[in-house]
Amino acid sequence: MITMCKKSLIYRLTRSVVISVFVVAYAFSVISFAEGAQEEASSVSKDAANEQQAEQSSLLAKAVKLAKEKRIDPNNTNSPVTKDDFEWLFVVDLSLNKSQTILADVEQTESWDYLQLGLLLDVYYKGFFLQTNSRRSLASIDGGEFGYQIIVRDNWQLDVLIKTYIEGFEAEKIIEHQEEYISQLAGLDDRGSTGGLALRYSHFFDNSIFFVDVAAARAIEITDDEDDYASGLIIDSFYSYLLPYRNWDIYFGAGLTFYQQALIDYYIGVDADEVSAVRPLFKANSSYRAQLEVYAQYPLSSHWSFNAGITQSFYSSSIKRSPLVDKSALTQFMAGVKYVF
Amino acid sequence: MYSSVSRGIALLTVIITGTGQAANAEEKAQVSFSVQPQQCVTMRQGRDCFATVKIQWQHTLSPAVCLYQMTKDQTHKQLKCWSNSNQGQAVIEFESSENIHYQLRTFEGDKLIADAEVVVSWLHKNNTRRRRWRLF
Repeated sequence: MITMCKKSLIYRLTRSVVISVFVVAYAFSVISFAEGAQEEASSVSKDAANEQQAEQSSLLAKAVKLAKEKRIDPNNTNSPVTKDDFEWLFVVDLSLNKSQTILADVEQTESWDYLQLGLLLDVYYKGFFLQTNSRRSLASIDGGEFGYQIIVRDNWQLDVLIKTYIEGFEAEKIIEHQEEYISQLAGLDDRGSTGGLALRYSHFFDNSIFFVDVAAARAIEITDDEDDYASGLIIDSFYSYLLPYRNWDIYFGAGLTFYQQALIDYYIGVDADEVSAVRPLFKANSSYRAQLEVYAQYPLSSHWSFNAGITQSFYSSSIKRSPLVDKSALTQFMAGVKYVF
Repeated sequence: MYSSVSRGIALLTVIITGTGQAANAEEKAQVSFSVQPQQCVTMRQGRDCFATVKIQWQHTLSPAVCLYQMTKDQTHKQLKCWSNSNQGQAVIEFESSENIHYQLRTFEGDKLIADAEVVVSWLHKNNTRRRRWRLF
């Protein structure tokens, strides 16, 4: 065993020496070549040097001109491994929206329900970001997320963020806007929105992105009742693939989200004090949501774009056991224009 | 589809050449040269922009002319030629991430008669970070 080790050591030493000799020889040859080139360069006439300098200046001027034409900052290498410096994006979004909710018998009834005006602001500064969901028209903060880029690498990123994961509802206000009275929702306590503190891992591919949020979430209380809240885990993942076709950007997306039992129960469960003749006591289980999505954008000008998309969501079938719910599959459609400042 | 600019007509360059009577005749020559659209918009900076570009020209004389597309290295690629005609048109499938010049030049002597540019612009600059791509 010792002999074998010795042989191996000798072999390694020999190999190292041979490699070193080659490296040193190569280094000397490079140095000799460089010195030769330097001597040759020094023999070049002054006129030729001037010509070369003029040519370089011309090339530099062309590059600067090209950069200006393309509105490219030559200093901006657009390296994805650096955190975002100050950057902003402000978009006004006007769209028609056909939407559904899992709540029983709730429909869009008025014209304003279909029309949505969104003011979308994204701000990035030294790794901090505030971004709205750039696909959805939302005038409320519900669509926004505030976070910090912890690690940014060429093809992946880790962020910490807070955002609203589930929108709340006030049953009485819903009923006011419906054409027909919804007895299942009458007298129901208000449900607040669920906010979450999340870690987000994003992975970037050439024309696609995958991200997963792991969020500690808590329903934000509307009432003063300290017991009237819930907390739990949300794991939200999404994959989106961009297919450019001429000037169109077409995105195909698929998502899978897990909601822990307490959160689902907070929204579609029926407490003892909410029981009525049409609303029995109900305790909900944890739930999943799967989503499929197609979204397309087309530039109308350097500020306007046309946007349209459809999303199909499938919730765990068990949610339909709740007396508050009559659908486990939702179809949402939007079409509109955006103005980019 | 395109901005109002694109509906405009790209004008004309009159080239004065020659001497004597010939020069006088050419001095009076007028050219109209239109390229529509003049602007092609893509979603993001750096991406190829696609458009069907219609080019029309009229000349008060009837010189033999050729239509060229200027390439990045400033050489010109011949697209179409006309002889004994005082007007012409061409339809070109535009595909570029950069501005492209179209030029009308004489067949003999390769003299520039008219020039127009299709400008490529974009909705979003390319230095924005990749966003979450989600609708609902």
